[in-house]
Amino acid sequence: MKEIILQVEDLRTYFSTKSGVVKAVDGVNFSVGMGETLGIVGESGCGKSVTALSILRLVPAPAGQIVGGKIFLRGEDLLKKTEKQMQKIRGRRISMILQDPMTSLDPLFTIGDQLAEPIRIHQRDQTTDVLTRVREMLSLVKIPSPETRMNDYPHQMSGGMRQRIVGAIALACQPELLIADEPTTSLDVTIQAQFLSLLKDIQDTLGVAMIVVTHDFGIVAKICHRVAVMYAGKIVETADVKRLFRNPTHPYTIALMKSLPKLGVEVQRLFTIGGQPPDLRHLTKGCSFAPRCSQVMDICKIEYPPQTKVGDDHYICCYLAGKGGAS
Amino acid sequence: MFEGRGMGGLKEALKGIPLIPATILVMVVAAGLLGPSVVPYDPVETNLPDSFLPPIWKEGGRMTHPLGTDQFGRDVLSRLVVGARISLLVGCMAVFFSGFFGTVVAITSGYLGGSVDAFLMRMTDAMLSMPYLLIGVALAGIMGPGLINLVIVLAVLGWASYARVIRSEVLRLKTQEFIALARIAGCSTVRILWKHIFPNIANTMIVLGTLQLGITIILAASLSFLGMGVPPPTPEWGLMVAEGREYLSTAWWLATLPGTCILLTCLAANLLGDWLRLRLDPKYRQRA
Repeated sequence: MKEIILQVEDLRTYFSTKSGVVKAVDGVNFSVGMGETLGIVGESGCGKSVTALSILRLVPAPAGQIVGGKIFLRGEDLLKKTEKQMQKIRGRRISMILQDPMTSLDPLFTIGDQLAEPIRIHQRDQTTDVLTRVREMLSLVKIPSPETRMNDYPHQMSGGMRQRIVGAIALACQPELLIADEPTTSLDVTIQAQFLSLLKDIQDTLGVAMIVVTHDFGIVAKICHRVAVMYAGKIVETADVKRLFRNPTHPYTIALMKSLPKLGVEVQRLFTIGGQPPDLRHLTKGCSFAPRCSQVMDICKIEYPPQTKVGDDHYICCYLAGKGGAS
Repeated sequence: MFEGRGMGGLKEALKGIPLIPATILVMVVAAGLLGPSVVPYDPVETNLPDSFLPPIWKEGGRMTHPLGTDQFGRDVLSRLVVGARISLLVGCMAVFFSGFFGTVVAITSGYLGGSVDAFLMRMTDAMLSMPYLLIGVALAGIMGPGLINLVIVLAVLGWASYARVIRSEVLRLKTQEFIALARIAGCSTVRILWKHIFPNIANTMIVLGTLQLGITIILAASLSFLGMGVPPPTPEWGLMVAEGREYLSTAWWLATLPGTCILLTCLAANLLGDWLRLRLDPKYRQRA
């Protein structure tokens, strides 16, 4: 049984706006173990990025606030920590990489300088040879000729290389958890594949736990061990990746899978899920997917379904669970 | 530790510098530094028998007074050289203080946002919407003549345009992902401001400073022209233009020569600022 690095319980993050309270994350539960990759999948606006920010407690205040729940990093509740304590955790124990490599690096400093910065912030007292560490990190992310490259500026590197540098900076202090928020969305397809393989190799080498936030099931298939599907601020299905692809159970997951165009399968019209995602300011009672669900029942509109186990490490929030799964 | 490639010694650093503006500025600075000790004549001592001597290239000009004399017989060249010191001193001090204050306002406003931003920007808007010469005259009138007062007036007039421009730079920087990543890596707000925001706006600050220098020198000259700046008989370029105004048809050099000095100094400062902006941008650095 893998050691649980991160345990999130009933996380709620709300945004106060002039037109109402937006329940971006509304009762989310998941866990990530050591050396494991959890994928958080969902369409735009489902709350996956806000979940990632909430773990680091970087939700844009004062509009955004974490209003409830617990986030345990190896047993310590992060929501009870002070800002100063969080600053020690960020970059050192939990790290994150973002989407746009073109603006992810400071244009005025060399690569070496920027790689050295987290080491300087967090490991000042230790006798770490910064130069050696920088060289190590560059080799880890497979940047050729690290000796010369560390004196280069960001504008001298391509997008793919920059994203690898960002990865190296994130891993410089060997964190326990790495969160990747749509890390390959801005990269072209071949570079995407390269980068994902790199992430997988690094995980095998360092044993770091990872959360990958994405809307792309292809990425999920390639590097995730477990998946959580999010919709309108809640997780609707959690499963082992193979199980999810072989046997999606929640109607939303099934519909998502159906919308993916498949190589070799010819269709006249691509499948789409009718309707729109709900307005997070005015969530109705009951299941948030009910208005768009092909198998909606009366009870779905009255109360939100509880989490039910439908298989080995496979959970969904759907009333169809009791009736032998959705069709 | 990690030296970017292309950062050599002084020769490398001054590569591509526009020579004429640099020379002009070096001359002005030299005049400012050495000033009173190298001039042939005392700039304020009158010498009526030798008044209204034309410059050396005109009929009646003398070697002893290459740029002529004014209505009191004072040597124009000496007054110009000593005037350089005052103009530069006033200009640089005013730019420094207005720049410092304007940048502090801009960074606070831009980075913190919210109600702080709104309040500071309304104050900046108020400053910018007022006719600066009128305010300058009013303030100078209240405070009285004198060098320090002039610097204060100019600093008060100048900070608002600094604040506006630098704030938009800060806002642009905030959207860059490396700032978010710095927070994610555990940087405190102070560290982000010092290590990431400030160096990235330094370029703009310097260019703005050189532009402001030109504007400030002209403003100082205008205030002195109106009698609100440095009092006579101090040789200040603007004051010299004012005093020479009534003799424009007869002794044109009294107003034109100081005016030319103002023009050349401003132009030189602007052109150098342009070069500096390019020089400081890592993208333009040439590889060795």
